[in-house]
Amino acid sequence: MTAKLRAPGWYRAALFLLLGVAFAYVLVGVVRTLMHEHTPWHDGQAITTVSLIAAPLFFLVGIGCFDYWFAWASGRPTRPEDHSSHGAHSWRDYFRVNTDHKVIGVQYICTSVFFLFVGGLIAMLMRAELAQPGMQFVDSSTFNGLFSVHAALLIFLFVIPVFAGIANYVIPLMIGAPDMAFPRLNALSYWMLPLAGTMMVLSFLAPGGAFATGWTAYAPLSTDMPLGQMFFTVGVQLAGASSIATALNFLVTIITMRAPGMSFFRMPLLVWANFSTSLLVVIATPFIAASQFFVLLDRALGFHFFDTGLGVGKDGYVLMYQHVFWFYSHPAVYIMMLPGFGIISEIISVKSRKPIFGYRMMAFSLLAIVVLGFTVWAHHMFVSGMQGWIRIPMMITTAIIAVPTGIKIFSWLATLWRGVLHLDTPMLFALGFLTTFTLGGISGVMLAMIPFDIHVSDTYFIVAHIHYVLFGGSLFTIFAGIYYWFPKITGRMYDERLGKIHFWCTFVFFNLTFGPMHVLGIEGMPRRVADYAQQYAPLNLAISIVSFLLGLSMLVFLYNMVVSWRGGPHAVANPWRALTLEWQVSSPPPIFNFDAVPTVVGGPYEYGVPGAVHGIFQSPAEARPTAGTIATSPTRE
Amino acid sequence: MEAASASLHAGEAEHHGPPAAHRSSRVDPQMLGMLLFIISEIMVFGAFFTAYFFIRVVQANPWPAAGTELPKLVAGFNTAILLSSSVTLHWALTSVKNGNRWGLRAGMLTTFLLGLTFLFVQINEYVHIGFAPHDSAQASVFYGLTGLHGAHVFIGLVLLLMVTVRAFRGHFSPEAHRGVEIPGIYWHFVDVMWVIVYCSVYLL
Amino acid sequence: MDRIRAALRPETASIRRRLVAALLLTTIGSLVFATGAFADFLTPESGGSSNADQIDSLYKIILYVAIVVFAVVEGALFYSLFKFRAKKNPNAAQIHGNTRLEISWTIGAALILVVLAAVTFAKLSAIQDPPNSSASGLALAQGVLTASADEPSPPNGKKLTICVTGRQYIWRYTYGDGCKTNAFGLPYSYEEMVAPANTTVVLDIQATDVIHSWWIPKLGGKKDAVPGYHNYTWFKAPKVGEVYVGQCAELCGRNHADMTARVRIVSPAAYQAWIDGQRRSIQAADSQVQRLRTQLQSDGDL
Repeated sequence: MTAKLRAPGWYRAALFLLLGVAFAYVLVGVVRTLMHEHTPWHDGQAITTVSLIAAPLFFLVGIGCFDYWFAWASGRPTRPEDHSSHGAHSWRDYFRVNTDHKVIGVQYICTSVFFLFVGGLIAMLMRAELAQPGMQFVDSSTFNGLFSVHAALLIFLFVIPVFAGIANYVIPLMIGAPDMAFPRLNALSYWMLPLAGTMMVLSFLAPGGAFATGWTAYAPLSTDMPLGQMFFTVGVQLAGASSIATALNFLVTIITMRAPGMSFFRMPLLVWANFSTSLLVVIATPFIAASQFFVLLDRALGFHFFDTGLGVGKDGYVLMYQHVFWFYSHPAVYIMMLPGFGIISEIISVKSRKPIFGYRMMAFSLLAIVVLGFTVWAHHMFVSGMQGWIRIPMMITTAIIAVPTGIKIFSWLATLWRGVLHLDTPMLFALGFLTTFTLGGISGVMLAMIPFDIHVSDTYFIVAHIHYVLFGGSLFTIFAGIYYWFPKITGRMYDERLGKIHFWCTFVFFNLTFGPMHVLGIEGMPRRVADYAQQYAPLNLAISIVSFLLGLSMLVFLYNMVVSWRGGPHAVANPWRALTLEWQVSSPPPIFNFDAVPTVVGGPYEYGVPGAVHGIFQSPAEARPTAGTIATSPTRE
Repeated sequence: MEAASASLHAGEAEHHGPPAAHRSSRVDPQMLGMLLFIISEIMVFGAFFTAYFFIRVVQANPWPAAGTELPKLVAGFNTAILLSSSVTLHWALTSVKNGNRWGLRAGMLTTFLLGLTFLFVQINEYVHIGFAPHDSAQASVFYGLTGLHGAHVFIGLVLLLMVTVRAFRGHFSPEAHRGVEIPGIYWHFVDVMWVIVYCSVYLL
Repeated sequence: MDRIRAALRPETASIRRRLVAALLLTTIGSLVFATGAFADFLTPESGGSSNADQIDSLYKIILYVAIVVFAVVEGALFYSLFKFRAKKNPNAAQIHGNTRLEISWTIGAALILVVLAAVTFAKLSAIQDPPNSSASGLALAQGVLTASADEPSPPNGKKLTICVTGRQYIWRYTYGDGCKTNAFGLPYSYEEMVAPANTTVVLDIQATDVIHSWWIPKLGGKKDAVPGYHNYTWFKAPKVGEVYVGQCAELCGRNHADMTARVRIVSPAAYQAWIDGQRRSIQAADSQVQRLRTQLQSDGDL
């Protein structure tokens, strides 16, 4: 038993979790004694808050994320090339600290899909409550908790990390690297996620209920909430730290570990997309961390960043929270969309058997979105009463950011043009994405126009818009990506028929669920309300019914994934006849990806070009850029 | 950090891993990682400075709040202490590059102790400053910014302690000193950030 | 390999036709529901005040442009879907890009947005700046010079100021120009506001605890109520006897959904009478309290 408790793993993690709580108890007691507080050892709120911070860190130590670094720090000998924690040989290896980017990618994807289903179930509960006016199933504070947890989970525990997961799996393969630049940091970034998610779900058990301030957690409401709010505040810090660490890892990997010949303009667009996303994450995410630090300090330690009751010359500034929050959270919508753009570019080009249209413009428009993404944050605050003059420049930049996005849409359409379209499941999701995302983009441009925004902000129009962008946009690309790389990741083929059923159900029910919400918003139904006026009742009932069907169609996906992974037909190395490097190795790839580092001799999307080659598995000296007859060259048209 | 031992132990055991990754950039991965991390850190400070800006400039609150005073002089001495620790750190790095083991150890130890002194002076300042974070928004910003910086000093000290321990255990050499260099960059960043905090919070 | 080929083989034609029909239906459904509607009945609530009407007409302009853009995108998509599927079109064209085309759609997209922004900009002042009260409106004294630059004011400066204070979970209205500085003794009401028709009413919106948002859809101008700030909006309602309803639009806590508001538009004379009545009952209550206080003091209970 002691051996088990000493070795990194779940036993030690559980022990350390308890130690973390004990540590928090003692720390709070000692500090409060020093501060001469009344009843220093019996403040449940303070102990819980400190436990929320300490226990996850202790858990991470216990599970073994820091073992190597501790050994290094204490001066004990370490072997950086120690691969003992690398790769998966049985399912158990997915439940320990693993440094293999492929294992971490699968861990990421499975964890975030788990939270997708949790968040989706919560949405079903909300729709049940909203089916009729009045209160039926939950009370109003539980309802506020439901939509807050729903949004927080799906944003911080699903969309952002699932893209990180797909990229984790695919990017090192795509650029011809054996792993990520910092494999141990990669493992640490993953293990912070389930902790953040668990914390947010557990907030339902907190006295006073789950955090109920929306995912925006506007101060001063959030600084004045029951304990559940702290589960969000700290959970977001963990998810954010995970996000930053992964992004940093991607940037370093992409910059320093590309295969010979892989110049920036020979990188697949998925790599470009994740490069841009990671830049956004590294620069923007600290702002949400800070905004939650402010809330933490205000609520737990009595700071007054946002308090206005202190008297003239001492007051805090309420709108500061929104400025800081949106300075992250607007770029965050691009963090949640750009990797999807990358996935769509891959799939549309492969499934049209045609080079991507305007490769360079595709890459530059990503970078343009990164830059412009930082200049539009205050369009979320048109009705907040901030200085009026800020609204005009924000409206203009918001309109401008639609241009690079429009360029991408047009380029995808031009890629389809005169191609050879194979309409299988990934392609269907990609084309469905083109439709729904165009709608989301158009309603986004409408929202940029100040007067219209004044009318519909904080209404169901916003709910519709964000779901057209994040569900019709991000989630469709995620499904497309999961289907597309499923054979590579699992070595099995998914069931095409079930995949198509999943697509058509999702596409139809999605539009029928969220399309009518535009109308609700325009007619004046505010969002985040547990109860609403009688005039909105018929449409809400219809939406609720369809949304249950939408929920059910997700089960088709789950069934397909589980059954195909267990018993689907074996996949060949390159079922899609793609050129990018990840398809040139076996499915699933060998433990160290490549036996020899490949050499890149051409662009990634030369489909249909006779003799075109992207990468070859030979030494650079032997490689010939026009090698049409080399036997080892990848499959061609 | 890993890299230091990477080169230290290179060839120590037979290598069973993947083919070494191709280096597509002259920049060192560890160095690049640290620089990107520092960009993130700058943005955290940026957010706290946003709070400072809104409360001091936009809200036009008097700075510091009426009836309070900031110990410019003591903090100025403290600034000097922290800046001198950057010098000693540089000395330690130069020493290890020249193979001067004694210089490395002495430099690291001095740097660590100077940093520790800074932290103690800062805590002492909190105890005697005469206002608490809940007294006013300005006090919140003051404690927020200096506290955030103090936390970074603490993290930096932990890193320095690791390097010092390893220096005393005989690690690092003229060929392999990234383990000194990269935590060192972080420490320099913490110092530069303090100068900005000191100027904007205490002096301006 | 064969099995994969089988999996990739196109479905039978009938299934396909049905799927395409479903796709078309959904797209039409999306068009009707998602981008709003072609008819008037799915456009923003309006008719209560001229700023709401302006928002409505701006929305229609943007919507028409949006429908055109969407139709172009979907048209290209469907044409490609039917024309270039693998069965019909075995050879892909080798197009890597077309600089002229790329530049032209970049400029085209930018132009559309410039036009939209320009239209919006042109409409903005009519939405932000209140007009003068009509002659049939409440007779108002020349207003004092506006203290705050943010506070909207009609060209002749004559306006009725009503302070709207949000707190968990009810709206309070204080009537009269002095409400911003000292609300004591002024007529007030909760939840239902009474306002004169044809009169420019400027709302001074505040909050005491957390952020709320004032919104009566048909009266235009949503505005957050932020603790420590004065935000402003206005309306000028022409129809006597109408009651406009709204709900707090910024999540403000547990009973956010129950924080409703009503605005009852009455004739200026009825408004004056109502205000006088409110004032009298406040005075009556005040003197009652005064009497009680003297009573208690003389009894030695206070």
